[in-house]
Amino acid sequence: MLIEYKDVTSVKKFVGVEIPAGAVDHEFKHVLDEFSRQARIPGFRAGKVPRAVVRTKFDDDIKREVLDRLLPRFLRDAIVEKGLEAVGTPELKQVADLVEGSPLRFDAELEVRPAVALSTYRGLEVAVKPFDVFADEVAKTIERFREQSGTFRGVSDRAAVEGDYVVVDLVSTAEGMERKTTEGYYVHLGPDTVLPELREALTGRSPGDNVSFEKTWDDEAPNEDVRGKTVRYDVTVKEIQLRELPELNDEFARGTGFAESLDDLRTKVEDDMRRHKEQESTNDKRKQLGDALVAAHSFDVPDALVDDETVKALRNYARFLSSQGVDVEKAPIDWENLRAEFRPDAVKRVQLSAILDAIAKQEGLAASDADVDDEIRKGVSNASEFSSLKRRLQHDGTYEEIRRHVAEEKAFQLVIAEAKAS
Amino acid sequence: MNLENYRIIIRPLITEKSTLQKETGNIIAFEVAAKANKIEVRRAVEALFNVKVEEVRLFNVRGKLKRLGRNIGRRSDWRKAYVRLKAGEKAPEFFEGV
Repeated sequence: MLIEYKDVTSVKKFVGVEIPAGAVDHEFKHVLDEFSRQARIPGFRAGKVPRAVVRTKFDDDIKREVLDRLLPRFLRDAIVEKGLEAVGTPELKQVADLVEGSPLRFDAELEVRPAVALSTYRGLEVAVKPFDVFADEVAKTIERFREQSGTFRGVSDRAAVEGDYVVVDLVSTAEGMERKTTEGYYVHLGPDTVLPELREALTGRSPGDNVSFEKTWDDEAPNEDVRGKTVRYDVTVKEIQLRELPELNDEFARGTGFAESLDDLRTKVEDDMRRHKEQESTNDKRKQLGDALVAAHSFDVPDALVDDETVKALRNYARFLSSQGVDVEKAPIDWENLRAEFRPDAVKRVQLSAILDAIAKQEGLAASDADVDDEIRKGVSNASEFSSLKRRLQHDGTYEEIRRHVAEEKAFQLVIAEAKAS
Repeated sequence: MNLENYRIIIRPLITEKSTLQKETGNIIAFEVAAKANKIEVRRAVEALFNVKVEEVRLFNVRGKLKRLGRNIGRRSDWRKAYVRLKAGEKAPEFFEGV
């Protein structure tokens, strides 16, 4: 029974609860019965140990068990009685000594979902960057496909000209640097070559030719070893190769594997780019509106939710790292620092979610079971997987979490639909 | 404190049988020194638990034969005492403070 209630902050509440003597006794007796049934004490057969003996022998355990059963139940009742929406784990502040036959008083602090006083959320201004897919972008993409499916062909009847690929063995020497040999190195005689001097030296050469040149690197050279040094390069031309690009026709289009003809390829590339840009534009809009909503409302958020959100972000980051081949366990990552870094964004996300939640409530936007089911179906491939997943989600409370999420998304859609483009 | 009493009364026996006897006949059971006699037990119990004793019954318990594979062993013999308290005396709670 709730006997004391105080605001610690707007999202943190203090509750003092008293458990009536009757309930304490009842639970005590119940626990004692269970202990008696199981207690094994030398000199007694299992289940035949007198209550009094069990009582004295397992005093501490029994009391702890009684508390473990009573506190959560009465705390929950108190929360319901007060109509609070608790988040995270309540923190027990003080528990009086358990005495059989007398009421038990305990204090706890718990965090609740923030109450948001909504300000404007309709007609928010959003800067929309217009976008279009231009023919030259499409052409560039198709050109890249062409380059990727190009084939090399050896050339022996002439010297190297611009645009050729020259295969060379390269020996680089410099004072204070280890002699380095690179064999079978492909040099493209084009504007994108790393070493322009090499391109110059190779133009007009034929297989079997030897060329040498020197280059003095400045302090900004990409390779640290050669910074500030004069390096001598001895180059032997092995082979000249020509890259032949496939002709731009229907056959090439079919060869890419996802188009029937060249026109089809163009349309598909264009559609894809458009989708991509649309997505970017939508994301940008969402971000702007989300920031605007958060900026327009100011309220405290419970630490429990922020912590959850931060942990989620950290977990995503760790997953990203390991997908990049980083061993998360061993890499020198300062998680505490990272946690602090992720926190401000986490606070924002929690705030946004609370605002959207409030909007959904105000607008009567609720997610039905069917909505939630649809959301779950997105992540599974067949019906039996769906029903087992659904059962699990319902069991661990995630189902309601998804419901909240879907409703928030509906609210966000409303905000987006009502936003004024500028 | 007279340590002699503790040499005579070795430990209380807390078993189903002894608990039952305590409740129905006001009789408590002890393991006592193998050489103790009824008079010594009576005095020791009266002194240690501050109760009046009506009757003491003593007998020897033969240690059980225990074998582990081909090795035969024997637990020590010991002496048991049933002590009946005078009517109206309250039997001590041995589990208190355990």
